[in-house]
Amino acid sequence: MPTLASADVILIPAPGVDIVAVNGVSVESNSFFSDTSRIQLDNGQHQIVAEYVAEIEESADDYLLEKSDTFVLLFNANDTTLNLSAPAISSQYALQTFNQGNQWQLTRTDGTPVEFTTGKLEKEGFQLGRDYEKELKRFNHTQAKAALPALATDTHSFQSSGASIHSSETGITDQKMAGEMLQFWYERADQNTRDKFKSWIKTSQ
Amino acid sequence: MKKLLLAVAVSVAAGSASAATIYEGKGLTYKINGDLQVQLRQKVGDDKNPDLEFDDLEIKNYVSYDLGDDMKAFGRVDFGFKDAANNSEKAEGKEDVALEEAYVGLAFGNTSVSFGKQNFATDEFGIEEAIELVSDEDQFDARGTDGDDTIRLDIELENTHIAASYEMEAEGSGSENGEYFDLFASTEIGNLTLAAAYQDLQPVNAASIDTWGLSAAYDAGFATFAADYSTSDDIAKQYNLATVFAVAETTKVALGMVNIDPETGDDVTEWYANVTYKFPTQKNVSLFAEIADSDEDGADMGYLAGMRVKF
Repeated sequence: MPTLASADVILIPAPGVDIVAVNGVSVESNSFFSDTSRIQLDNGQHQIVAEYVAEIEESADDYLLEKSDTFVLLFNANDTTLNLSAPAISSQYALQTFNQGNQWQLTRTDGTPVEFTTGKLEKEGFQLGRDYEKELKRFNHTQAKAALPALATDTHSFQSSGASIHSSETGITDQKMAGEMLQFWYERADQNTRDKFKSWIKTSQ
Repeated sequence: MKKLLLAVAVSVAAGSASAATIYEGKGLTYKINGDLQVQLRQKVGDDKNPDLEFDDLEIKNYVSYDLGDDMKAFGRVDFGFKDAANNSEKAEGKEDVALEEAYVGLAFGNTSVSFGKQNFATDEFGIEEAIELVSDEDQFDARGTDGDDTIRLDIELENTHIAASYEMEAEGSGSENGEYFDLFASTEIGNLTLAAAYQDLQPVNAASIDTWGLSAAYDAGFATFAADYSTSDDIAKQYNLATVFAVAETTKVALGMVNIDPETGDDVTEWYANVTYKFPTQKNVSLFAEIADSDEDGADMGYLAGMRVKF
């Protein structure tokens, strides 16, 4: 999971909710034995991709695991902890209903809802090994309500760095090399990217 | 047998895998489910010995075509390998891979009609929560709840499920096994789930048998409590009691008992207690253990422990 030590927004998925991408970046799950699936984000606007895995009751000692359609959620949040959940789903009927409409629940810890827009991330054809990052780039080029055009460009958007790594996590990084790399890539960047970088430096102080 | 939902949530987090949707496009969906359960078990009974038992070894294939206007055509083929795994090669006729379900059908919104080898409507009945049971789960299970020549109708509404099925006698064919007509209905009213079922069985060359049953389950938040009662004319009466509760975010416990009172002979009570742990990041992987006993003469306590992997 992407983490940020100085994060201002914490997003906690409810049981069964699977967040597969954050701000255009695919999310890998933590340890097999860990349930610390919380995601830490900066204040501001974020786009996540979520799925729900439902246990559809089928027989006495049997059930089917069925995954919902893949949804994109776009929301704004500052200095808060959010819970992302879905209604209880135990039948094909309930799953179909969930897939048809917007039944996601994004709430603060006190239960107050957080506004968000949502859309479906759909892929035609073989579904194994989906490339969510590529799909999101296409999605963000569309007019969908949950699209975030800033993530559609290949140039880095310095303001939406929810998946960035805080310096405390790179304590052993060679600072001399980091400086050289910064200089190297700055010199290789075009003017537009340099301007964005400068703006990000100013706003992140 | 289908249970009423004993909905004690066991916490799972991100990363869970589920049915593998292999292909989805141009109206076609193809999914594969798998279910592997292996356990060390000593059965309840007199002088039983432990062995490694394969409960579920299944591969399920599901395909559907969107026909437009909220109409879908679907088909399902399930293969089971547990008999092949459980029985030695000396067990004549038992070493084959079993075709567990094979049917096709049409769905119109929330209504579906299917034809083929499948479960009867009364298979939906029952609240028993044991991992394994020596006794029949209920009187429908005792009479039979699946067939080869079955036509089934299902209607799923927001809080109600209605099902009806008809198993043809298929006289003279290889699948001749009597004629069954089954009905099932369940409804949720707040935290209470109620269900009723009825089966009319006309065995080959024997008198017909009527079976009916009622069940109720109440979700009290901290635990779910459930009971069912079923009876077959002139054969037996049976009831189940069960409760399920979470003892941790990843762990649930079930306690239950089943009593069968036959028309002739003594009644038998079997009880069980089991615990199931699901890995936090993978709801499709669980570890479980169970103890069970019965008041049948000479019966010793049974136990099992195992692992289940689903996708």
